[in-house]
Amino acid sequence: MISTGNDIIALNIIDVCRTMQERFYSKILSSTEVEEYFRDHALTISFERYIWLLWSIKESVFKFCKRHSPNLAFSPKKIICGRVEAPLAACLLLPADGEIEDNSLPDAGNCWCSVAHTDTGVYYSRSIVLKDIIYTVVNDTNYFHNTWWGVKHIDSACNTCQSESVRAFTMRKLKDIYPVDTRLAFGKHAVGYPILKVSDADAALPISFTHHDRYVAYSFVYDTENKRIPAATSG
Amino acid sequence: MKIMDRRVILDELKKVLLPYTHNKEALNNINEQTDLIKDLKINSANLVDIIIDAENQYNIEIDMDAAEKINNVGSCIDVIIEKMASTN
Repeated sequence: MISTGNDIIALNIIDVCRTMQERFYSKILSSTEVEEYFRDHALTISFERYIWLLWSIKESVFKFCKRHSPNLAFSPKKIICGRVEAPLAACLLLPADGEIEDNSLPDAGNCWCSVAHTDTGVYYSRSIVLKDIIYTVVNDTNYFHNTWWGVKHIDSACNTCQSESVRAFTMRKLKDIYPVDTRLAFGKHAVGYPILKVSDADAALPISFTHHDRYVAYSFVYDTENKRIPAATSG
Repeated sequence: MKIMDRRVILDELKKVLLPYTHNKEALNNINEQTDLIKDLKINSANLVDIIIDAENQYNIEIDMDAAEKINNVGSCIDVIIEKMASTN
């Protein structure tokens, strides 16, 4: 199905002590995911970052699914992350159409992939883990060529500023894609996900916003080569 | 443990939600229909914090099956009362 989901975590406001408590992380991670960390990743990434990496993957999968299942509730332990890895060439697997404002593109060491499962589907993720943020975008195929994403640092963490900034940031990119005279605006579905309106009509463009503290980010799906929203493909 | 009045729990929940609420004005005026994310602008990354703080406040354990029912203040009170009853 055509959708998108992304999530950003501002690591500077994470309570590391609480994150490391079993009582906290056991509400997010399955025992299998904890075991996988200590077996495969303990030398590569700190445990608290691993916890928030998996949170961002799970939250992104939830957002992806919510567009097609409006009554879905977020239950992180029902989304199981497997094959979490940071291969040397992971940077090459990142969605191509991404931007990180005021920052350099990540190197191979902080790009992560995973395959996440729910009762009803399989989802593929790309994450970047930087000093200050963890950012994830997901798709239901392992093909991200049409997935556009961006991360931006903003000056204020107030909710209004976050909301306005992420919309302005996304709109700037959309205006690069749509013809210059196209009338674009954002709306919101009753369930909560954002809608792009083109000349007041729902463009059915899958789009996802995320913000945390002084960071905002977006993802959307658009086939620029053929100038259309891509058709759904099976995994 | 005595089962508490919903109104009392709602007032106590304000203190639990305070550190995570961006919209402080909305917090002062919450009712059972108040949505934690849409109305109070609580970031989803803080939902586990809120669950743990509620567990501490009421000496209960909220598993994630119960937690996924929580979307507004009323459903949060429902889960707290249910868990307090099963703890007795």
